Amino acid sequence: MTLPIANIEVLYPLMFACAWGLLVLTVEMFSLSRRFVGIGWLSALGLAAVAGISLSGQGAGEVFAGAVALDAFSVYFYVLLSVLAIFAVFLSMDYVPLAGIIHGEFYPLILFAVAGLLVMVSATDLIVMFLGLETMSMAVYVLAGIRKDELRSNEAALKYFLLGAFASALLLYGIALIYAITGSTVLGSVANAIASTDYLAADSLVLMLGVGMLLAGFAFKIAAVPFHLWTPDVYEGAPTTVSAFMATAVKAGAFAALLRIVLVALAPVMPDLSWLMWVLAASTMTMGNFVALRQTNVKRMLAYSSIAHTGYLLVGVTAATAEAGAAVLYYLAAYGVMNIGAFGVLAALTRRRHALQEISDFAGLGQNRPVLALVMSICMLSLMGMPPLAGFVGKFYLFTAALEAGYTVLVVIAVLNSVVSAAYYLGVLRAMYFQSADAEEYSPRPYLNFAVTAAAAVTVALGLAPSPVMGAASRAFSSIILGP
Amino acid sequence: MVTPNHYLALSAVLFAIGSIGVVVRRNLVIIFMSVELMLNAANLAFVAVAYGRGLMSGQSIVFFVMTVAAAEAAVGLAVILAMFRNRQTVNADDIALLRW
Amino acid sequence: MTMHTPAPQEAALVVDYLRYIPLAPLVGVLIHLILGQRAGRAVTNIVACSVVYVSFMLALNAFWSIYTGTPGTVLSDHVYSWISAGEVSVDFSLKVDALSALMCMIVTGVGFLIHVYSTGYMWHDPDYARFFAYLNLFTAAMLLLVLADNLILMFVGWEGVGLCSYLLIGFWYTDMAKASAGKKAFLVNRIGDAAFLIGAFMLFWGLASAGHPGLSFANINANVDALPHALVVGAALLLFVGATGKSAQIPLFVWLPDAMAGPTPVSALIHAATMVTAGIYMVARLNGLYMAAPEAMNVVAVIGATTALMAATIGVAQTDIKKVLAYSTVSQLGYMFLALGVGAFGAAVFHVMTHAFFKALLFLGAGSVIHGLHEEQDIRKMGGLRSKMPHTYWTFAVATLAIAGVPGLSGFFSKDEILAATFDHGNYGLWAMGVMAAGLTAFYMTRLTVLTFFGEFRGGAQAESRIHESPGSMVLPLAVLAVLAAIGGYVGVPHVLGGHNQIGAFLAPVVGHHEFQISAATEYALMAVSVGVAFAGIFFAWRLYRRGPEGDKVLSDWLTGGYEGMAGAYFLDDVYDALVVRPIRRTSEWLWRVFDVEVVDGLANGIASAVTNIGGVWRRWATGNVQHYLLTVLIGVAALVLAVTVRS
Repeated sequence: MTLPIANIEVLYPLMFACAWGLLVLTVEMFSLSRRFVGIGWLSALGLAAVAGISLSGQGAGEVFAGAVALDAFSVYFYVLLSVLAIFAVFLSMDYVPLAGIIHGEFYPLILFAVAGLLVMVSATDLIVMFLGLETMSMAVYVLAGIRKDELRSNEAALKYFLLGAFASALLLYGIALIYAITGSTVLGSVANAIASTDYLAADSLVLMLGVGMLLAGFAFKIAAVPFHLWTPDVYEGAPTTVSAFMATAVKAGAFAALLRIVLVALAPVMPDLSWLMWVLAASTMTMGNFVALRQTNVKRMLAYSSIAHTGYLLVGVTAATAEAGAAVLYYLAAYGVMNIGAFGVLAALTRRRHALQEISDFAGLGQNRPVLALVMSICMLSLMGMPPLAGFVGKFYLFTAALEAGYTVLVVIAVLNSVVSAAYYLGVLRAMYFQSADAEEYSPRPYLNFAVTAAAAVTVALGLAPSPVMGAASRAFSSIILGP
Repeated sequence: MVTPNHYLALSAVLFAIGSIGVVVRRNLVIIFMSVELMLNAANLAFVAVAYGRGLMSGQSIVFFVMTVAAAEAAVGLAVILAMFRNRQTVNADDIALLRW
Repeated sequence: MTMHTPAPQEAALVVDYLRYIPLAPLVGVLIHLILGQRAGRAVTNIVACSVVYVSFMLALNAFWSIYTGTPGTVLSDHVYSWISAGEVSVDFSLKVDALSALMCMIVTGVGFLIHVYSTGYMWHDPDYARFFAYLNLFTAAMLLLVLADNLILMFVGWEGVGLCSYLLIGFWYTDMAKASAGKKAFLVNRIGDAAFLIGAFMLFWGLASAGHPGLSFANINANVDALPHALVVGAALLLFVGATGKSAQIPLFVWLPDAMAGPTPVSALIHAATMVTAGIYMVARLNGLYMAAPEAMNVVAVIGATTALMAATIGVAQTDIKKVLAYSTVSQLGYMFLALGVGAFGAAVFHVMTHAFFKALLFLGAGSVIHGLHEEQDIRKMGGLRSKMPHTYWTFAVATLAIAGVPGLSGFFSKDEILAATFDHGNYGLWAMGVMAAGLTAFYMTRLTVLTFFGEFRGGAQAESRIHESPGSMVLPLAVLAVLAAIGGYVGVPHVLGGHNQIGAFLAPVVGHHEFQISAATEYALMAVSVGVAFAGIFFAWRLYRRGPEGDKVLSDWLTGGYEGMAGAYFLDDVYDALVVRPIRRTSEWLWRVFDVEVVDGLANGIASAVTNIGGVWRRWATGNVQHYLLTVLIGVAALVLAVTVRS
């Protein structure tokens, strides 16, 4: 028997992710020990399989009348998201017992969140994108609040949930308004409808109202100013590995969807809106960096740093050329691994049920735990944009692309911003190497140590040899511009 | 004669009521209900447009959105409940451990 | 006017060993990181020195190939294509021509000596593995900076040396002031680096639009004519701002005196001999670009001369032995920029070399003194060390005479060439500033030497009994450097003195040739002026400070009739003091307290605190109340929607 859907192969990675999530949930139910690391391994295996299936090249094309597409762009993000999620899983395998998270749903929720992200990045229809976004968000709301007895975890989940639901409602209403004018929610048709019809003033007003709300919904997810306020609170309160997942995978997924919307559906109106993107980019990076300077909590600092990086990425979205788009894709990968490393080191410093988060907690790390300190240094320097690490190469791609597109002032602002950012990343280095503290006893954390070391190694490798990833990013990006 | 535009206007009104509710009410549960109202305003808009233009897609979108709303309600109430169990409050003003 | 013949076309010779020059110290870093203190002192010391020695040998090999090859020979080593963006690709390619061969020799040669010295200096430090890891890392980064064949790869080394400098300044972290000195150094450098990067981006974009994509130095220098003039000047100025950060020029010099908080060998290697010359090297490397931007060249010359004079003046009143040397370094770097600014690139590089010898020697000598006096750095509490530390004294004296410009020693030749080139260029005002700075240099250096090594020891009897000469590992590098500081100038003896200026000829294929238009007689006269000024400076300082730190004391002794027999001599001292020394001292104090500490430093701190204050205010936006956030989102949406609809 075959399912009566043409091109069903397109959905295999998605279906596999959902099914594997259910499988992991079932296996977990029957596992005898709460500390069973096999669940983590099983999840990682599934995620690796998702990446493998999407890379295998089976089923390229569209399904559901052009609502979901498995193009090079989708494949790039499938692999990127799977890798980031595997990192998050490995971080969690030690962190979950340390943090006292006793809920077996942890790993399945990560898999469901990944499934939602996969839908989001490969959706070519606004409503499917919305569904993916909601699937992902629902899982992440729960993950943020999974430490039910922790007040901060509660509060993080609550804030993320209320603001997320509010933003989703705005997004959905924006889609409804666009639907009202164009009669479609498929990205390509929306673009055609916008481009080909000469609308009455009233209609165009409603359309732009919808576009504005749609952009606001995504600006919220990527944490652009002024929709960024939830980020520090949620990253700080959520379990550290969940924050890592949110800061990297969720942000990458949201950017992927934003790129598809901005460069496909809204392509006809983008020339009028680039100034808006410009303002968003400049204010987001400046805000993020300036406030990060004043943080003493490293998790909060990383949250503001992630806001600043949203600003850098928006420079690429503003430029909206093929080079800039590829640069955004590359930067998301680079930013993902270096942030995984940074959050991972934070997770590695967890004592029994007590996460160490203040900058002063990093004192003496250079002496007491030299490997972790080195990993953290690499990640901080890369975030700062120190050559030859991944962060520098990413900024180089982004900024040169923006220059070629003529955004000189924006690039100058961005470069000056990265000067400011050096001050707070340096604060961590200073604590690690220029202050001393007594050594702490740590239980062995093999998975965490492995994951953060791997993240640092990838950060260095992506910096020294960016060409393979950049090549894939270029192909991926051109597939949504030139593709059907 | 009630035209689809009337429904669209109603939906806009509902959406506005919802968004005002979100920012003026202090009770977390009611804030959340206001968000649900906004989702339903969107639903109404979809149906009205679909009806007015003779499209099917808008009608089916509504089913998806209703499912999303239901799931959101389940998760949302669980989150609020967990909060309430630890703090004995559902007042938005009482929750500011995480800030600055 | 100066005749400047541009560099001829180069003939590239492909070799594959250049990559090992920066790689060898990097291997050392890895060994230090992996083994740490477990390796033990001896192994760490041997590894640290031998990796730099390997680089030195390879650099020597490269140097020899250039020296013996036809003029214009270039060695290149293409490792791989690093970043490719569209039609532009940034390669991981290393290149050795005459300029980089010479710099490589300085970095590895002086670097090796300082590594050897450090094994003795850091003998008692418990954290020696970390120290040598940083020092090796610095050497690797510096070599990458020198060998890079394009601006972006150079930036890798450029940032790397900054990072190592930061880590080494804060090396003794028990002292928080030192750690924050490191932070200041890094941030000031980052400001310069931002300008550097923006300048590089401008060139990148300009060259790509002009149809010559790529940021290799050869490409930039060759195609500068294809670029709009404003872009050339803008890029040259921005890159120069980067150079002022790294090479401690006005206005970004403030970090260097603070950087003296690091271990003294670090000051010698990084903050005197090598890293701070990176800015000069970069400008010399891009001589084609700068020659096409005369406006930028004038700025370089004026900043250089001003910095030379200002820093020399500040050096007069400093009492910390390392601070004197730090301001001296700033001043000497100013000379090099003056040379660059008047188009005498060869003279600038010549001075880089001689300065590396005598300034490294001065710092290492100062380190030896500090080491022997158990961390005493105040020259008012020194004195009479000549007999207690004879090796240190002799080598220090050679360096002092060399930097003061005493004929026959290295500093004389290079400084004289710079001053002659400035005069030749027609900038008589800048020449006068340079001559004044030369006099002040002779003055403060003599003051330093006299107060440290002559007279009676002023640090108390208990401290006096513990003074000791430094161990052989420290004295040997001093001796080698003293020889170099003495004779290093003979590679650049000018034609009027019967020499052949071999270094000028050696560098000519890269930086162009510089033929003086002034007559031999003028050249002799200029030489006489600068020598006279140098001797005057030495003479005044000797008269005033041979008996102790207070020149004023001399006067009061005379008034009370203590030394009637020598009244005439003291009267003369009094006149010198009133007319010359006291105004200079006042200016010095004023420049230091007002210009350096309040204006420049204050401005830097002011900007920093303004940024953090803004951050502090914006931070309050996140009140923690979820409804404020919801309201912000709503207002944000309204603003966004308004913006979208109004604009379209």
